[in-house]
Amino acid sequence: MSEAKTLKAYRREVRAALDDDFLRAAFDAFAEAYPAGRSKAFGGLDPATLIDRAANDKDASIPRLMALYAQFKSQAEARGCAVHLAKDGPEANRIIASIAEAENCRTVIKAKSMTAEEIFLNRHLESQGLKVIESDLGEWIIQLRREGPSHMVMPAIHLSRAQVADLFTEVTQQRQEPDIDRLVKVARRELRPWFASADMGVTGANFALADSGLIGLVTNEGNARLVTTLPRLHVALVGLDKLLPDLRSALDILTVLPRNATGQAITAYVTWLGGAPRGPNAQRRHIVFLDNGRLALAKDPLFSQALRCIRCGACANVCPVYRLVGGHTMGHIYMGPIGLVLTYFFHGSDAARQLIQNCANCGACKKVCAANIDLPDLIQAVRARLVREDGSSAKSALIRSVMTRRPLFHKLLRFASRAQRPLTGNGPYMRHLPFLFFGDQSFRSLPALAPRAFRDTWKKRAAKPDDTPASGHKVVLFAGCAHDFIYPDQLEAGLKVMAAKGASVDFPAGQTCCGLPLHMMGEDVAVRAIARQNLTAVPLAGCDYIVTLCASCASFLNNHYPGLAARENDPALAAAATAFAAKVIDFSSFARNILQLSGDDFLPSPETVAYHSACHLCRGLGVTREPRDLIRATGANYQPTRDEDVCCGFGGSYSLNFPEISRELLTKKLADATASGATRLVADCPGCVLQLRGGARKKKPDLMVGHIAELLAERLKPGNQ
Amino acid sequence: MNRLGSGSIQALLEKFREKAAAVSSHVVGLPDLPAAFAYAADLCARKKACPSLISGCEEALSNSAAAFCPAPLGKTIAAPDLGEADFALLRQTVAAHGLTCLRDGLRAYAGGLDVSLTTADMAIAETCTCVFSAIDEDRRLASMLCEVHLILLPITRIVADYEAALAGLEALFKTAGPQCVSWVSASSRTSDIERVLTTGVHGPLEVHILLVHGDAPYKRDAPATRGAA
Repeated sequence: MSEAKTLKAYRREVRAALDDDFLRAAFDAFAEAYPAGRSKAFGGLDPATLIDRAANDKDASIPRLMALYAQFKSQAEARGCAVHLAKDGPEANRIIASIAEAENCRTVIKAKSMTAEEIFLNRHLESQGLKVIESDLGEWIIQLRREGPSHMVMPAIHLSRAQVADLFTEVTQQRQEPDIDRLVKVARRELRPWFASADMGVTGANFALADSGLIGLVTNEGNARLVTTLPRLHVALVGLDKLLPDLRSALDILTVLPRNATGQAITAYVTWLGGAPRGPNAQRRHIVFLDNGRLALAKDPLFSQALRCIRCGACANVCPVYRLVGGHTMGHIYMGPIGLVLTYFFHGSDAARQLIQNCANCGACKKVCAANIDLPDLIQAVRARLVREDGSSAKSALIRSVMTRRPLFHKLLRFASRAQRPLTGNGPYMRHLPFLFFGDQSFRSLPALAPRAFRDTWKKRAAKPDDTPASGHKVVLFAGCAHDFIYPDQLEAGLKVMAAKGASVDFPAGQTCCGLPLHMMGEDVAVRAIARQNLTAVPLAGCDYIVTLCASCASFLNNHYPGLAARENDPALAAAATAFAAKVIDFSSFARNILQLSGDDFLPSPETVAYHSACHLCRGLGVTREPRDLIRATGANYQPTRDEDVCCGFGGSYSLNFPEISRELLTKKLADATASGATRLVADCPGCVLQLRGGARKKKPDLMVGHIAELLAERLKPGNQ
Repeated sequence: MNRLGSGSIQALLEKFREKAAAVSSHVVGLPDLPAAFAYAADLCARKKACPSLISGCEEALSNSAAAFCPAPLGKTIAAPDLGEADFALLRQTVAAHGLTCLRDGLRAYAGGLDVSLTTADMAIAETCTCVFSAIDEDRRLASMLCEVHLILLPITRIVADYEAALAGLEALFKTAGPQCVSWVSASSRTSDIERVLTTGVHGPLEVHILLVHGDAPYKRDAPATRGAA
């Protein structure tokens, strides 16, 4: 559970997690195994269709949670349940403690519930003198260790069998061997008496069905069945977001939940309960619904989608950052990508302020989400809210002020290009980094700014758009800052390829940064100002395509500009943004699908080439086939690598904020690339090239790293040039 | 209660068996109820002597947990679903093996039962799910406290998938009064220590599904009409 109040303190937690070898190995093994398990569980089914259906069911319920609550309450009460509604955590805690008091309870046995974790229920019940025992194996283990969960589904995944054996030795006062099968049996026997003797059982619920008043519990261990049966009293604590109209919607979710969570077609048990038995073994059942901000969230046009979450934990399973540091570091109570968002709403700005920075915006979570939640977007939006609440930091304010003034921004970059000479020795890399500012960036070489920016050489070239064949495609080149000022040679390579196929290219000089870096910083107003500048600077008339060699620019222009413009109350701008976005295309898609480059265009190549699939290309734009086709077309031996679509660790300002995580992701990426036998690694994004090339220069000097356009330009047949 | 979905009974059985194998549940085809009782008796008799041997008795336990060990009265087989005549037949079948037959009062056996035999109301082939509807405590506890759970499933109660199960489930869900509908799709399991799949953490270590033909003999009595075993 991270409670860091400053980035510096938070980075200390991050470093401690990175130093935990067992944690690293455990999360790594899980991340490796998860995709295959998930894919097997979906078998012949189409995950996208099933996920759409589940998300639609949740969307239909979210706007009418109170109506569903009223219907549920009347149905459940008719069956003999007591139903309560708590506005927040303290009220829910008070309700549950008062039920325990009224029923003379002394011991409480619990099944796993993230909602109970959310409100610190155990702590409250214990403060009222109750003995509380967690019965889910993982939860029991972490309760004994006085820790919080490190994963929503596998709360003790961060612990080794040896640690559990030591813990159980302490608990039983008998020596326990680190044998998992035997440790599980010990837990079974140690916990069973508590089930039988507890006065009250507490569970959460996965579903609350309004039309029947039943709750549904999805479990594997079977402890929740005992918790709801053996004690004379059962209390279910349920988030209002678990309300659904009927069984049909629950079955839609149940089709997705276990498959996405643990790679199971269904869990061992699903228990549906309504009312309580009467007669000799009579039970009483209370259902306590928790608001704690959910109703307000339900009304938010953007953030209401967070309530679709069905707590499968998949977003954490695929998150490259979570994989490195685990849920204690990447979470407060809720962890992983959804945890970053929920922490802000359920536990407040102070708990979220540092955590929310720990996302590289790679989009892996969004792709796997069981409820189609746009997690990267929500994380950025929380950052923007925090900027509105707190004001910008001095650093952000300076960056914002410069980047929204294009002439000033570019003038400063030109100045920096000259001023950097003592640091670069006129070479392509920074030889000496000012240690005070960049000491922790030394895990990779940082490139020098190019002596001349692309925009400055463009002004002087003889070929103007009008000179090119009328039959070719008319292209506007959107350069992006990294290509314009650091890697103009990559743009030249792209121009060479486009010219070979008769495309005419224009470069409107009024274009500026796409706005993604400011978006990542939560500088919402500045991003909209920048979008307006670009939309004004790029003439759409006579332009067939807006081509960019930067996957991040392409993804941001394509996915965000229409939405940004729509918020400006300017219909003409909104229409322009939609038309603009429709013309945006990444370089590989343009080269393959529009220019139709094929094997005939290239000289044969003996090279073995690996590909790094940039996050914003493969997930941001869904482009996966084209770059690989192009590599093969050059005659090179394309060598697939492990985790080819996992983030390289750049993430723009992310690598500056969290260099220790960035370094780890980079190291793994380069190791995977060289393990494949490749001598060259290409990508579709200058940010990735910066990261990978800088890392290779330090650690893998034999690996050549470049942009895919450079590979294509190099291998073009002479007749094509 | 025949709610066959799409496809023939053979296809459903094939699917059911395939899904059961994937989660290590045993599926056994048996001709009739006496054969199912014989299977239960044989399985229970072959089980090791201590009632809870496979579930932790042999481990080093704290004093309180060790004290909770069920009294060594011999092995137990619980069948709270059975009507009077069927229960008598079960008792007769297991008599030779010296097993204790139980039909109620299972709370007293919270430490563990050896074998339970319960009857499914419905099954879903797609997920190998057996559906039980019972608010009665003994019927619920039987499948939780035992180490081996035997499920009597008349094959006519198998449906293809959730869609085919929906109408029948909704009818159960909408029946007035207290409700408990349990789905059992595998043995009790956890991967909480180092993600190693381990069965029997809180519930049955094994699930055996006994497929039987016909339907009528397996109707259960209402709890109020049941006598003591």
